[in-house]
Amino acid sequence: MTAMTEDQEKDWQFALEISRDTRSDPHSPYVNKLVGVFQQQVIATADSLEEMESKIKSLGIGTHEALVIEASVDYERTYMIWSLNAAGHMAFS
Amino acid sequence: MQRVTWLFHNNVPIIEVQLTDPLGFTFYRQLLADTGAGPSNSPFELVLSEIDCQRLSLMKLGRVGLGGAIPGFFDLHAIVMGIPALSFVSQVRAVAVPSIHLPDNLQGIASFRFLNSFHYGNFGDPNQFGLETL
Repeated sequence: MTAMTEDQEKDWQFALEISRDTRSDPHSPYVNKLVGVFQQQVIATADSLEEMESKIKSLGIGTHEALVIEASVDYERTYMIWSLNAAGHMAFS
Repeated sequence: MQRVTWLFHNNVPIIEVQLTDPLGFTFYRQLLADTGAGPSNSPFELVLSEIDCQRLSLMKLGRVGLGGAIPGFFDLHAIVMGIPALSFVSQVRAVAVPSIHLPDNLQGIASFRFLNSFHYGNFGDPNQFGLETL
């Protein structure tokens, strides 16, 4: 994992807050939306990654400067990977 | 509906995908087809190496915590992925992990979220795995 800059970390915390709020409020305007964040502000919403990329570019913001989340997804839980290795054995850590 | 199938790789199911970098160069990767990789609502569709993700990344999608075979926190990226035989090309969400965590002799994992966006299975042949558009 690459380290986030201080500004990116602030944007990430802001994005997590949006995700928490969205998951707890079924009437949130961000339900099932992609949300673009830059400098702790929502700069765009979209229904697809392609649409979000286009919107960020149209704002003159670098696509790697903004942070994009799926507002209805929980980024604060652990997602399990129960993978097989090539020998067909379960790989546990 | 369109269907594509692949023979098993060392007895495990795989899919072959075409990846495109921001300059338009394409290359191919074989991924483990793994319904045990995350739930349907996970924030990623693919697990790829950090090197591939750095090369392919179009946007940053934050980070995610993984457990089980690949423990830790990892960056998420939007990348362009295609399966030509299905006329499928789209931006998808990939989590970037050190290549040491990837399955032996494969270049990544197609998660349950991705596989579940198709019909998937052996389609009557126990030596193959395939995808069919919904």
